[in-house]
Formats: sequence, C-alpha cells, structure tokens
Amino acid sequence: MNKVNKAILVWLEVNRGKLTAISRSLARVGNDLARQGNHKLIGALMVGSKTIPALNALGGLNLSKVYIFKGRPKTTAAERAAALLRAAKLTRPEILLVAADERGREMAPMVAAKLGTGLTADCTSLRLEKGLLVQTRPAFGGDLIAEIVTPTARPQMATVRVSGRAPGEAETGVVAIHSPDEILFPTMEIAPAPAVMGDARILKRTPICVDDDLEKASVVIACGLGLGGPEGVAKARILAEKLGASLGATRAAVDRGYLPADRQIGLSGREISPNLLITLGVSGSVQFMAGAAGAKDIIAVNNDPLAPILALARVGLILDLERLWPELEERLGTLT
Amino acid sequence: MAPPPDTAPKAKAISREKNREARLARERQLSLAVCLKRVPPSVGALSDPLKGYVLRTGPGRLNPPDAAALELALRLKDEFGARVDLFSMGPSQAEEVLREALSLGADRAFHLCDPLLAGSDSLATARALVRALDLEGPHDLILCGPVTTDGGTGQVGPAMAALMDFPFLGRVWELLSLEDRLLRVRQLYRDELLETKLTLPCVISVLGEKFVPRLPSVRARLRPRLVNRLTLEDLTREAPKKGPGPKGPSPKGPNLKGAKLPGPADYFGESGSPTKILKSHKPKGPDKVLARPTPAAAAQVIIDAAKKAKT
Ligand SMILES: Cc1cc2nc3c(=O)[nH]c(=O)nc-3n(C[C@H](O)[C@H](O)[C@H](O)COP(=O)(O)OP(=O)(O)OC[C@H]3O[C@@H](n4cnc5c(N)ncnc54)[C@H](O)[C@@H]3O)c2cc1C
Repeated sequence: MNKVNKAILVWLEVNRGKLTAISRSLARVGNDLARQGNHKLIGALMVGSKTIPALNALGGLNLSKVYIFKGRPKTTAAERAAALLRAAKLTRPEILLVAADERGREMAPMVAAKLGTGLTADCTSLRLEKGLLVQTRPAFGGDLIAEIVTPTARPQMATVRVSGRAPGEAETGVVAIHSPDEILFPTMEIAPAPAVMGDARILKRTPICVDDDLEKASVVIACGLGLGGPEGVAKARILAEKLGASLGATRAAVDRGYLPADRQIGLSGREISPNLLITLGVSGSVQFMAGAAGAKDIIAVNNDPLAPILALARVGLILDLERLWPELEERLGTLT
Repeated sequence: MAPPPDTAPKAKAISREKNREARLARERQLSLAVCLKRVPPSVGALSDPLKGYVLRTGPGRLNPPDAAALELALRLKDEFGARVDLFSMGPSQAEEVLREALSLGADRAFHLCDPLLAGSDSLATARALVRALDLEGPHDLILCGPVTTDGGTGQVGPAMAALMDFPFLGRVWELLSLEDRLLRVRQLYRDELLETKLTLPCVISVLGEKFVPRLPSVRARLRPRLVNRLTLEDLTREAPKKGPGPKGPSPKGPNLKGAKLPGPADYFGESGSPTKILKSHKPKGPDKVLARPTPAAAAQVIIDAAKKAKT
C-alpha cells in the first residue's frame, strides 16, 4: 500500500440481520480515534442474505462510508477475510480494526499477511501518538503489558478487545435489499463477495445456546479451587447475587464439579471483559488468564503470597477466604 | 471371451499394476506438518509477585495447546500412514520440545534456529515457517494450536494459511472424515458448532478436548530422534523443484519486478517484523495494592469496588 488515506476502517459483524454488540463497541473505539486524529471512519461488513442491518443502526455509528459485501448464507472466515481485504484495498486506511473475538482473531491475521502489514492482537487500549497508533496489549496472560507500534507498514492493524456490553441502544428489525438503488444510506456501497482460495463449505451450523451474561457482566466473581468445596461455592454464589455479579470458574473448579463446564473462564473457556473481576481462591494460571486478561480491574483473594494472581491483579489481597466470609456477611447479610 | 493363451504375462502385468498402485498410494500418502512452540512453563516462572518482575530463562515446555495438533496428526498417521513433519522456531532449547514430539511418533523434525530470526513478530514467524514448509514440503495438512500461552496472539496459523494461499479452518474440535483428500471437520466456536468440508491442502488449528496427547511409545523412544536445524541462510536458499502436489508459494512479499530485490532482512526476524515493541512493563499501576489486609478491610474493598464497577 503506497498511498494511504486518512481513514480508519472497522470490520463489523452481523448476526441474524443485526449488527452485533461487539461491532457497535468497536465502531465506538474507531470513532474515538477518528475524532482524535481527524480520520474518516469507514465500515465494512458482510451479509449472508438479502438483509442488511437496520439502516438506523449503521447510521448511528458515525460512518462516513460503509461497504457491504453480499456473501452466501454461511460465510467462512476466508470469505470474510477476502471481503475485508477488498475493503482495505479500496479504502487504503491508515488504521484497520477488527474485534478480538474468535472470528476476528481468525480473519485479521489472514488480511494482515496478505497486506504484508503488522497486526497487534488483543489490544486493550489504543491511542494516537505523533500520528502512530500505539497499541496496548497484555502478554503472558496479563503478566506483561506491551505497547506496540507499526512504524512503517500500512495499515496499522489491531484486533481490539471490546466488550459485549453494547453502547447505545439495540437496533431492531432488518431491511431487505433488492437493488442498490434502494439504499437510503447515502454512502453505502454494495459489492459481491470476492472469490476465495479453496472450496471450504460450511455444511451445517448448530447454534450453541449461550447466555452471554459472563461476557456482558460488569462484575464477575471467579471461583477457584481455593474455595475448598461446595460450601465455599455456595457462599460465592450468594455473594455474586448480592453484588449483582456473574459467577465464573477456573477449570480446576469446574473439574471438581463446583460449577458447570459452561461457567469456565479461560483458554478453553469463556473470555470476559468486566469492569471488575473478583477472584476467590484462584491461582492465576496462564490458561485462566487467557480468558480473564480483558478485565479492567482485578481484585484477587488468595492466601498464598506467591500465587501468580496476586501479581496480576491490581489489588492482591493475601487472605484466607475462611476469614473473609464472616466480614462479608457482617456487611451483606448471611451468605448461606 | 476366451482366456488368454498365456497367463504369465498377465500375472506380470497384474503385479506391475499392483506396484504402480502401491507407488501411487505412496505418492498419495498424506504429508502432515505440525507447528510447535516452546513456551515458558507458567506465569509463576516469569514473575515474582513480591520482588517484582524477574524473567527466568528456566525450563520450557511444549505450548500445551499445540499438543492437540500433534495428537491429531499422529492419529491420522495411525489411520492412514501419513508422514508427520514437525516445525518449530525458537532458541536452541526448542530442540528439546521437538525431540519429545518425535518420541511420540512423528517422523521428521525441523528446528528454525538462528539469532537472525529472534525478535520475529507473528507475520515474520509465519513467513519463516512457511518458507521451511516450502523447502521440506509439500504438505497436505498443516496443523497448529489455536494460541500460545506466552505471546498468545493466535495469529501465526491463519497468517501462514494466507501466505500459502491455503484455506484456514480454526478451532477444529473433531475430525469427521478424510477421504480422497476431502476433509470434514467440526469447528467449535463460543456460540456455534460448524460442520465444514474442504479439499486439502489446508491449515487448521486444533482444540484440545478431543485430542488428549498420548504417552511416548517405547519403540518411538528408541528410534534416533534427529532434529534438523534450519538457519536463515537455509531458509532463503532457492527452493528445490518438487514433484506434483500442493504448491505452497513462498512468502515472496510484493512482486517487485525490476525493483531492488528485498533481502531476507526485509521479511524475517526482528528487522522484517512490521510491528515493534515500544515498551513493556508490569501492569502495576500507581494504585497497585498487594497487602495482607484485615478481613474487615478486605471485605470493604471488595464491596466498594463492586458497587463502583456497577455504576
Ligand atoms: C490445555 C489446557 C487448557 C486449560 N484451560 C483452562 C481454562 O480455560 N481455564 C482455567 O481456569 N484453567 C485452564 N487450564 C488449567 C490451568 O492450568 C489451571 O490448572 C487452573 O486454572 C487452576 O485453577 P485454580 O486456580 O482454581 O486452582 P489452583 O491452581 O489449585 O489454585 C487454587 C488457589 O487457591 C488458593 N487457596 C487455597 N485455599 C485458599 C483459601 N482458604 N483462601 C484463599 N485462597 C486459597 C491457593 O493458594 C491457590 O493459589 C488449562 C490447562 C491446560 C493444560
């Protein structure tokens, strides 16, 4: 990419005709940067059918242009990557942002490799400094915070950890498009999906029912093995109710049957990004932190001063849980 | 139809045909590549919560998620007699991880080891691995773990696929069938299970739940466990022309006809990495607290913080 435009391109995802909450959060991140650096904000998305997300939802994102690629009903990661690549070549943006969810993390590296540009994974914050995008990301499960830049290659690409707690209101309804003439959004461009390598086809899609309370929660309490047994877990559950928190667990706790498997946070579990994570009797393994590093604030309770979680948390409380319960009960009422 | 007068030539023809078939089968034999990484054993080894940040060049181990990719490859070998090649880039200690994987039954191991490759970001890493795959391939299926426990980007697999112009299938949970190079898998995402089919070659990342690593077999352990070392010079040497099979184009980068040809430094190692680390630090804000609080104070801290976070 030789000449770049003063633009930020964001990839947006549509699910069942609706713009996802993650996408709206990402657009907001893009918007903040665009305002800082006087960039144009451009969106790109792929729709699998004749429906496009409600125009007012797109309209609310402050996009100066949006590319809509029409794919097949079940689009593969490669198809989405090809669409984003096309949009990147059309817009030649200085900055390209993709949400750091499972799908974004798959497609973004393909696009970056094709463009021969850098890609910073899982950014927790972004800012502009002397025209460069400074990308902050946790590494080693949050043990290190690194600031990364892409000095010369363009676009500067990042996958961004944005929360499923959507800003703004949820949009309703979908709009069917029959021909591009019908488009009301003035700067909307409808394009056919670009061809992709290989013949991958999704034969079947089975939705997995997930209540995404853990992902959306502003406060999460994580239960570790250190809770010691069902009594401890029961207390943690009532504590969560009283504090309005969602309850998650480490794998070790799930393995012991403390909580069902779908409550597991981590590498092979769910990924959370609450304002506050309270860990109770969690050691802070890399695998656990892989799902928890998105938490904006961590308070950890652990009785072993050498537990890694105490170094990772903003507030590390070296304390036996058995001594904590009575004090919590004093303030919140009984936890049994 | 009358039987032929002399059956000997026919028998010969049959055996020739059989040989040809065997040869074709051999040629069609699956060739698999598994990309592995050595990582530090745990967060605990990296930091000391009381004394601050200490990076110990202590023991490493195989990135746990990679073990599933290796296991899937070995199961394919058990079933189809595939050849399993291992690739790992890293400092000299990474050889240990490759030896271990050989003792589980892999056939060949390649260690991309060169100080000039140090400091590679995910794209430069993918370029080097693709180059090595190109030299030692072709491979029908390239397997990797979904993420590492240290860098944790998960970007190398998809980037390799893009550089090779192969499709990428992420988060493979289950392998349903492999017939006539047609692969059918299940991919597990947070909110959906996909059943996908495609024709090889491709790159996949493998989830661990269904592919629990095996223990080293005595027989494999007794075999010589030779690790081939590849330096940057080896990688940038012209690739030998290979027979038919999937062609993995090398990560050539832009086609600069007539222009000054980019050297290896533009594509590999730290100098070839488009991203640069500006700085890194322990996430200890000014408000970092590590304390032995009274239980009462701890309870108050927790309740107050939760109230604040809700608003
Ligand atoms: C491939 C792979 C994937 C994995 N994926 C995940 C994953 O997704 N999520 C996950 O969580 N793990 C995962 N793991 C497991 C992970 O390595 C750890 O084993 C697990 O996270 C540990 O859980 P824990 O912190 O509850 O238990 P432990 O490590 O046993 O920690 C318990 C902690 O409780 C403290 N404690 C004990 N008693 C008390 C008390 N009375 N008061 C206060 N503190 C106390 C102890 O000091 C200790 O630090 C994975 C492992 C592998 C190999």
